[in-house]
Order: sequence, then structure tokens, then C-alpha cells
Amino acid sequence: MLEITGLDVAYGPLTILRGVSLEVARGEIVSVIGSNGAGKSTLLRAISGLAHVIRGSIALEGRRLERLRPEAVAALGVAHVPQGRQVIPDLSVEDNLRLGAWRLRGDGARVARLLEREYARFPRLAERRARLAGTLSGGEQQMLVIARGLVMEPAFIMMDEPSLGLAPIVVDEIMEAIRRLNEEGLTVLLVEQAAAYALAIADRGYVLKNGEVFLSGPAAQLRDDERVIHGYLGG
Amino acid sequence: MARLVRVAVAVAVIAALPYVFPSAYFTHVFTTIAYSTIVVLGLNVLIGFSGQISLGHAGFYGVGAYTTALLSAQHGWSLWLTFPAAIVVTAAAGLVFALPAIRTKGLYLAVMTIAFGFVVEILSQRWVEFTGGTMGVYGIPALSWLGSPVGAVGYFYVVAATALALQLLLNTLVGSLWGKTLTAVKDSEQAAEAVGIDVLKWKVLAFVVSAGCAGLGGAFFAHQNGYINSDAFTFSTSLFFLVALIVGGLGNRYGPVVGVSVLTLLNQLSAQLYEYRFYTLGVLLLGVLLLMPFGIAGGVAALARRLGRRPAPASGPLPAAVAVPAAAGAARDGIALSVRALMKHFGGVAAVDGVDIEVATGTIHALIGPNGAGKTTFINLVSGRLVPDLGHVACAGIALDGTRPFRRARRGVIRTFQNLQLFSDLTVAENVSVGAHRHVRATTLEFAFGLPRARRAEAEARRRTAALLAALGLAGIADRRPDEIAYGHRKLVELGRALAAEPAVLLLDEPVAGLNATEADQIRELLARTRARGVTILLIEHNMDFVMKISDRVTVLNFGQKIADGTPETVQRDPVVLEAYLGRRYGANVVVTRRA
Repeated sequence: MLEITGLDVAYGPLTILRGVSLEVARGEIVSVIGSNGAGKSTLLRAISGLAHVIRGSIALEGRRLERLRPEAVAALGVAHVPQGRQVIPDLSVEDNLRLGAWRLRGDGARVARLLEREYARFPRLAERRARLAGTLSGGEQQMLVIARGLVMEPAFIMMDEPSLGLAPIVVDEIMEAIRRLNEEGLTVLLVEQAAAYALAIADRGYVLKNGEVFLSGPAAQLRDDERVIHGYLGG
Repeated sequence: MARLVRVAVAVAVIAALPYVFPSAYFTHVFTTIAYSTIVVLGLNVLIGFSGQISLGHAGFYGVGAYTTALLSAQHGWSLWLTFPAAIVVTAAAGLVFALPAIRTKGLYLAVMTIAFGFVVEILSQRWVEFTGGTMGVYGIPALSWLGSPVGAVGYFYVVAATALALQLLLNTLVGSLWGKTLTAVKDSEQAAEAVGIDVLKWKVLAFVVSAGCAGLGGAFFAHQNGYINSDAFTFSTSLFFLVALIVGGLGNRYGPVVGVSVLTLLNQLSAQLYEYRFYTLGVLLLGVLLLMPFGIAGGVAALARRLGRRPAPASGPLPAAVAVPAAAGAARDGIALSVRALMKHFGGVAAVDGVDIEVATGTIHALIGPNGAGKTTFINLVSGRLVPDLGHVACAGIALDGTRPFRRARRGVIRTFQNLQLFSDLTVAENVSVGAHRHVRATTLEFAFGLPRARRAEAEARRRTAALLAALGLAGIADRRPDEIAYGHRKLVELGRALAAEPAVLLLDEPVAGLNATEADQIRELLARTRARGVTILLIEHNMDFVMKISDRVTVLNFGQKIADGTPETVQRDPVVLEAYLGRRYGANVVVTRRA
């Protein structure tokens, strides 16, 4: 579904990714792990059109993305759930979700249907639909950004550290939700610091190190790799 | 060395100007540029470095001009006295204005400064018996040396030399820890208070320094012509200063001189175009700002940065043993932090509902609980950012109730923020060094002249910062700004800034969120060493592997209330905690993370 070849990405004078190649097949969960500063978030930003690609290609179903603007990438059915719970604090939960459905803004009935589906998926958000997003707890905000990413029924979703700052019980819920979404047919590219969780639910994994792919393979195999255990699982 | 060369070039240019353009007209223009630069240099401290907008700087400029004009022309004071008087009176006016005004922010403050400018303008126009109104003050003596007037060229040299001296002084000041502190206040008042910076005092200070510069510039203006009236101190003069700063480069050291020169010369050269000159000026300004949004000097600086393209340094492992700062004056035994019956409601919802916690000195106490349980609110109450409805907080037996965050920080209660509050215009290293603020004793003047106490404070902060950056594995990215580094690294910068304060009690809000297990292990070791030196740590964290390994004691909050309290072993087996927080699968997760 997604095919990245020889990707170089830089922010101004800083080169972040070097020669990264990565594949995600339809229906897979692929996890990317790595230390801070390895370039994981930048990889997702490059796919979304938020970071400047210097060299290499990004193709979704054969369609090249690397020169597209972020809104064009989103229009192709790519959802990006950014790091750090970026809700719009002064808007209600419902309005935050509506923003996710911005491209359908003429079609009120369809938006309402899509919103209801997300409320069914995350009942906690339904209870709080009129509250300002800024007053939600961290876990609820994380659910909200994931729901906002899902509103448009994407074929492919990228999540940047969904477990960040969440209680263990909520991390379980979120991981469970990702697994369920995947079973419903959603293809997932997951970036996580919680490598144990990320490799537990993924089919395959990549390890980024200093902007390059250091290891890749089936998740089960990575979980047992000495270098992964020592470097990322806390051996 | 490079600095000496730059100063030599500046001196040479100043010395040569009257010979290259040997006309009274040009000398007059250059003198105008020189004293306007003095005003805008001060404005840059205020807007560029402290982040407060003034649209009424002509008011301060006018106060300086009238002070020296009236004292010299009507009371016969020597100029040796009237110039210092102009600076002091204007700085005092800045103080009197800022003390009440500074409590407003942003646009509101800008409107207050407009009002101040108008007050000065109206007083100068209408208080005729004092200022002479539109007729103005005549007979302001020209500058003389050994009994003879210095002449127009001599006067230019004096003004330009003063401007150059001020430029060098401010370069030292904004480049020093003083300037970094001011920028910190601009970037995040919350974080600045959290390391002990008295934010209101620093903002007032910026106003006083800025007003003093405007007063000096105004005084030079008064003695240039020997005559001033109210026409010179209007809103458009304030706008000229502001536009010059923005065109030159806001927050750039050389923005003022570049902006004032360009704008003044354009004004003069286009004078013969009469009305059309406003169009040409407008088009030019628009062009400059479209092409160089950070001003001319800012654009040049950005170009220089672009040419010096650096590769990304590798993020290596942490070094094993590093000195960790010791606790400042913490008793080795006893209770470092005592919280009794703390309560805080938000519109009917109890965020913190009667919580008692005692943290023994030199221990690590974890606060865990579901998202929304009130943990961050608890830290906000302890650090003074929120005022509790009821209850008491004491550090080492001293009550902290009712004190502002910066006072608590000075007592050694230092916190980090879950939603990061880094100083975005400072580098990683500068962020950390500002953390040491509560140990800095040097004054503004000591920093401006680079006196020994300021230099020692600077060296001490550098030494401490280098050690901490090494300990946190951030040495390779010390010169980057927060928005150029990964999330987990920003987290570590927050921690480094807090450690630089040498806390007695350290409050950490999710110190290892966004770090992987191996990185979290390294922070665990660092915190264990910090504890070993007598620092008391209260931390919020969801990484249970981390919490259970490092904590001496764990308190569990739910719905603002304590539902469990004890050693890590007892808490993680508590059925109430498993149900509310850890989840039934918790045991399985521990197996995964501890498999190796």
C-alpha cells in the first residue's frame, strides 16, 4: 500500500532522514521504533507532506506523495494522528471532531453519521461531546485526536506515539482499539516509544537509528533480537 | 578578536562619514540616525528581547528631551548634569508607567503605551507655561568642550560614539545570562517563574532600561537644534521607531542601526518627491517585509545560517558517571514536603479533594492514577501556579501558602511541565543555564559591563549546564532550539533546566513519557543519583516499570482522592489500584517489559 524508497529529509540545515526505505502492505500494522531524535516523527511528517523531502520517493497505491501538499495527501485517505495530543483546546469535543470532517462540510447528515460512529467507538467522548477539549484528561484528548483522524474513514492511518502520557489501563484500551480498527481493514503505521506495546500488536517493525533504517523484520523476530532488547526494550 | 575588528570598522566608518559626505546637511542626517539608533536600541530590548510592545516610545523620548532642555535652558544646569538627569527622569517615568501597566499583556499593554504617548504629547502641547507648547523651548545650549562649542561634526562624533558604546553595552547584556533570562520571560512566563525568575520585576526592568535609552536619545535630539516643541513627540514618531526596528530586524542586535539608517535615508532621499514619497516608502517597506520577514539584519543572519549547513549529530548513549548537582540546603532527614488537606475545585468538580502527602527528605515519591485524577493539578498547587481552596503546603517545615511560584522556586521547590514549557528562542544549552537563575546574584549593570560577579555567574552556569547536558545525553544538540529536536529530547531539556536550579524538592510531571525503555532506564539512574545527594523528588508518571523500580513510596489518586498509599510492592498488588488504574493485563505487560 505504502512504499518509501531512499528517502532523505531535512529541516533547514539539519538532515534528519537518510536513505530510508519502508513498506506497508494493505491490512498490516507496521511499527517504527527508535531513540529520540532518530527521525520517527519526521518520517510521518514527510509522508503527510509536512516535512521537506530532498531525495527519494513516497508512493501510496502507486501514487507519488512526496511533492503533494498536506491537504492533498489527506484527501487521498491518509490520516495522521500527530504526537502530543494536539486538540484545539478552546473548541468543544464535537467541534474538534467536525474539523476532522472538514472536507465534508457541506454534507451535514453524513458528518453527523460519521461522528456518531466515532462516539460509538469511544463512548467517553460521547459523554463529553459538549466539553471544551482543553478540559479533557490526557487519555481523553488522545482518544479525541485518534477519533478525529478516523472520522474521514481513512484507508491508512499513521499514529505518532498514541500511548504518550497515558495510564497503563488506557494504553491497553488504545492498543486494543488500534487492533480492532486493523481487523476492520484499516492499515496502520505506528510510531511508538513504548516499544514493547508497539511490537506486541504489529505484524512487522522497523528500527530507526540516526535517521537510517537499522533493523527491520517481523515484529516477533524483532522482539527477540538482542539489539532491540538492549537498545529499546530496556534489557 | 572578531569583536575588536568589528568595533574598529565601526569606529572607522563613524570617523570617515563627515569627510566622505562633507556637508552640514549630511552631518545633520547622520546625527539624527545616531540618536534615533540609541532610542531604537532600547526599544529592541523591550520588544525584541522581553516581548512587550511599546507604541508610545516618543513619550519617553520627549520626557528626555524636555528634561535636558528645561534644566539647561531655563535653570542653567551644566550638560554634564542634564544628560544623566534626562536618563534618570525618563527611566523613572518608565518605572512609574510600567508598575501598573505591566499587569496587562500583548495588545492591552500596547494600547496603554499609546495612551502614555498621547499623554506626553498633549502635555507638551497644552501645558504651555512649563513646556512652551507649540512655541517650544528656545535657547537650548549646544554641547561645548573646554569653553568652545564642539560644532556639528563634533556633535555627530559624540552622539555616534555614545550610540556605539550603547550598542556594545547592550550586545554584552543581551548576550549574557541577563539577556537569556529576559528572553525566557518572553517565551514562557510560567516556566520562568518555575525557576525562580520574578517575571513582573524583569518586565518592569526591560521598560526602565528601554525608557532610559529613549530619554538619552531625546536629550541628544534637544541639543542638536537648540530648540524643541511638541511637534517632535507625536504618535508618528513612536511609529517611526517601531517601524525602523521591524524593518531592521526585531530581536536582532543590529536591527536598530540598520532599520534607522535605511528609514532615515529613505525619508531624506525621497523628500523631493513630496506626496509621492509616501507611496514609494510604503512599497519599499512592504517589499522588505515580504522578502525578509525578520527584517534586513534578520534576513542577513538567516542567509548566513543557511550557508553554514550542519549535519545532524548522532544521538549517542548517555555517559555513565556524571556529577549531579547537590541539593541546596536540604536536611538529610525529616520531611521535605508536607501537604495537608489540599483541596481544589474547578466549577463544582473536585480536582484535588482533601489530599495529605508527606515526602521524606531524600526519597522519591511517585504520584500515579488515571488520567484526570488530579495529579497535575496537585503539582500546580504545590508549585504555587494554582491557589488551593483549602489546605497547606510546607517545604522543610516552612509554610508556602499564599506565596507566588517564583518565591517557592527560590526556596528550592522546582518543577517540570507535562505540556512542555521550553524557551523557544533559546538553545538547549541556554534553556538549561537559565534554570540556574536562583543562584545568580549579579545585577544588570554588572552584566552590562561584564564585571567579575557576572562573569563568575556566567562561568558557573556554563559549567553546570555542560555537566547536565552530558548527563542527559544532550551535549550533541546543545546549540539547537527546542523546535528542532525530538519530543523526548525536549522532555530531557525540561528536566535539565530543573536540575540546573539545584532543587531541594523536585516536582516532575511525567519525566519519561516519550522515552523508550532504555532511555527511561538512563533517566532512572540519573534520578537515583540525584536522590542519593539528598534531593527529594515527587513525580507523576505512567510508565509503571519506571515508577515501581525507582520509587520509595507510591500514592495513587483517583477523582482527586487518595485511594492507596504505600511501597511499590503493596500498591501494585492492591486490587483497587489494579481495577482503577493498572488494568487486569498489567501483570502481562510487566512480563513483556522485563523479559530481558
